[in-house]
Amino acid sequence: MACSRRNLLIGAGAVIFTTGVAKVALAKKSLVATQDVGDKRYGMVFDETACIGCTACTDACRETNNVPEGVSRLTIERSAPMGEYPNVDYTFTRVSCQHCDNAPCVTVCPTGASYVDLKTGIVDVHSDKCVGCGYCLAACPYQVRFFHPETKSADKCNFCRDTNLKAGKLPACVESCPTNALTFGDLNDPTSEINKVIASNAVYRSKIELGTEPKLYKVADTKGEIKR
Amino acid sequence: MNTFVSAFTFDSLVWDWIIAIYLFLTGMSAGMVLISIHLKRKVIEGKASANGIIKATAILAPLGIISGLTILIFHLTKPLAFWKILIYFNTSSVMSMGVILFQVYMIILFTWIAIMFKDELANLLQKLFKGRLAFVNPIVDKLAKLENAVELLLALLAIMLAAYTGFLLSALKTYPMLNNPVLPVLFIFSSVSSGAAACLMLGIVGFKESFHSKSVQWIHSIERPVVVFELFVLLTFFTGLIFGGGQNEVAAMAAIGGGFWATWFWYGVVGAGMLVPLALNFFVPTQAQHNKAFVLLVTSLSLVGVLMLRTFILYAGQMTVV
Amino acid sequence: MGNVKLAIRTTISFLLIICIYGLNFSVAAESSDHDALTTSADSRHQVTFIRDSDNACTQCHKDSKETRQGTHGEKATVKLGRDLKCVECHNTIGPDHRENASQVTTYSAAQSEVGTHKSLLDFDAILKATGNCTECHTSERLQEKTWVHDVHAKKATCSSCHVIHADGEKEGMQALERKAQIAQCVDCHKDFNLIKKDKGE
Repeated sequence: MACSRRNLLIGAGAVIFTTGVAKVALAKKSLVATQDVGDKRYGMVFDETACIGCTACTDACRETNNVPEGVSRLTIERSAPMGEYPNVDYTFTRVSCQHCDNAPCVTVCPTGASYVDLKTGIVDVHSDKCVGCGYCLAACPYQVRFFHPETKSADKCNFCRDTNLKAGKLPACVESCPTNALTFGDLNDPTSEINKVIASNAVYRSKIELGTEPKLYKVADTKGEIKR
Repeated sequence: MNTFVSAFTFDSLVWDWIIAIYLFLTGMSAGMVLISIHLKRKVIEGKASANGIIKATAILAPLGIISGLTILIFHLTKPLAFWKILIYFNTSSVMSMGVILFQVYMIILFTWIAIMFKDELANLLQKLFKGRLAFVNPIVDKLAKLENAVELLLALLAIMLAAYTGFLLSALKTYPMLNNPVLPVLFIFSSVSSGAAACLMLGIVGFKESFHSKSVQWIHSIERPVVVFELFVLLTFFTGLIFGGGQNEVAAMAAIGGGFWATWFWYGVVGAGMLVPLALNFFVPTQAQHNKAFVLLVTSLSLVGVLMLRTFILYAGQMTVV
Repeated sequence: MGNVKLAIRTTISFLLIICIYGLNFSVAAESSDHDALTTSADSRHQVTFIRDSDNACTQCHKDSKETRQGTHGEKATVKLGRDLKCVECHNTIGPDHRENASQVTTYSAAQSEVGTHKSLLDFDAILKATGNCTECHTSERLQEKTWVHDVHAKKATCSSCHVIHADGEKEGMQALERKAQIAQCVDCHKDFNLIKKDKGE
């Protein structure tokens, strides 16, 4: 009996300890979206309330990253019309790589061609390692990957890692947006603009129930249902 | 025609019918190997290499897997870079693990066949290479001592391979219908049923195995339970999706609730591939069944059914995104 | 003093000479007009009644009829079974509308001005201005053409983006390439963003 009482006490202690730790760990995650992956963790916020659906970003992306016609790294998806004339409205959403911390495309890639760059948190593709099996295209729940018609490799948005970002500029889509609907920055830096935007808006991320930990945040449109 | 085109081409489609054929061939190979190993160990009396079913397996199992892998390589966007998949590997990738599995499976499969047919192999090598490859024979003789271990390992690998084709698809979070724990089980059973059909088809029609031989009898005895169990697994597959609700239910209803793929499934997979063979075996008198044309009919129905099942799972599975 | 007088006289007479010289030109111009009239007077026996209600307008707005043909020309005639009249869009107005211009319905480019000082019309003014267009160009048809019509229905007049008195579709939005059209969105909305920023929103 004494023994079981001792076990109970140890067990209770363990429960208190673990829940306490868990609470601390959870508390850390509030509002500011930092996480201990790599030096930097680049992310993006897409403001649905600001986007006007002009698709200047799509064109800028195409030009900057030499994306051929027929495929695209970034598209803006327009909803069906809502309301009656003259009060018809639309919502727009960004369809592009979400740069998941836990990226399914990276998990399934048989050669390791698809990878998360630990220095930036950017999900990218080693073109010469890719054999073109298409497993990542199928595995991406956001369906944003495609085969580049010229390199024959899997391709997608990499936050202009080898173009604008390399040149010290912001990604082409961010630069081209007339309404400043896009905010790009380091999620690991608590003082960064992106963390301010995340902290001061009602943001959501798509399909987080899959455990993908995407780094593309969206400021929900004030009209209609949020389609995650 | 339009529905036909749209059924085979839609936005969320990544893997097309080539992959379905590959899944079918791989499954058939694994199924044949599983059946033949059992036959050799428990059913066949005397020399296994003289048995028509074993002969059929010795030809179709390697042929199936090699042709399957060949079409798979040419399905890559960079077929010439396929060797990279062999030298780079990723432990978290089902496909990468599958590639390793394939290589081990093929080595063990060829070893097993070489052991079983070692006399025939020695004759063949003598005839073709006039003793220049005589060193092979002692190696096979040495391996023959490990026959039991090789067989058990091959059986394990065959089960893994049959299940692998399921795991390959069930690892995809994107598609609720494919991201389904029952899929590997379903594919093991459909592998065995296609393996049985292929064994009978080539064993009886090609290698003239007697209708009364014990091995043929045994395969007949498992045919029915396998198909019935396959139907049950299919039932759990779809009820699981429907009970899951949300996109799972949407995916299930899109697949079997109506439209091109529902017709394909109910009439092709379930009807022609499972129920008709079951009914034929049940209603046609045994005497009439002992006829090559009948065997050819029933086994081709089963094989087409399994191919249609793989195609159905692949296409209908990719229709609905989470 | 005498010098000053002389200077004034010389200047006046010089100006007079210039005036006479200038008059000479305008008389020459008119006389050439007269020539044109006399040549057309040869076929004067074919009398055509001027039933054209636009005639009064085109006396002053000389090119307007031709430039309108580009956008509301043949196609409109086919649809309507007759040609369009000025008053159909610009309201029934008398010849004295120069003194009382508010009677005329005009279509100004409400928000297409460059920069952060745009004259913003209110919803009613915009709907009133576009009401004439949407009688034929119904909201359904506009939506079919592009969703952009929908979102600007209460924010800009048609003429903010389209030029009605234009040579065909060679002016305004329809004349632009897709990329240039997007540039229009970008330019205008960028300005609005700056306005917002200035207001501190």
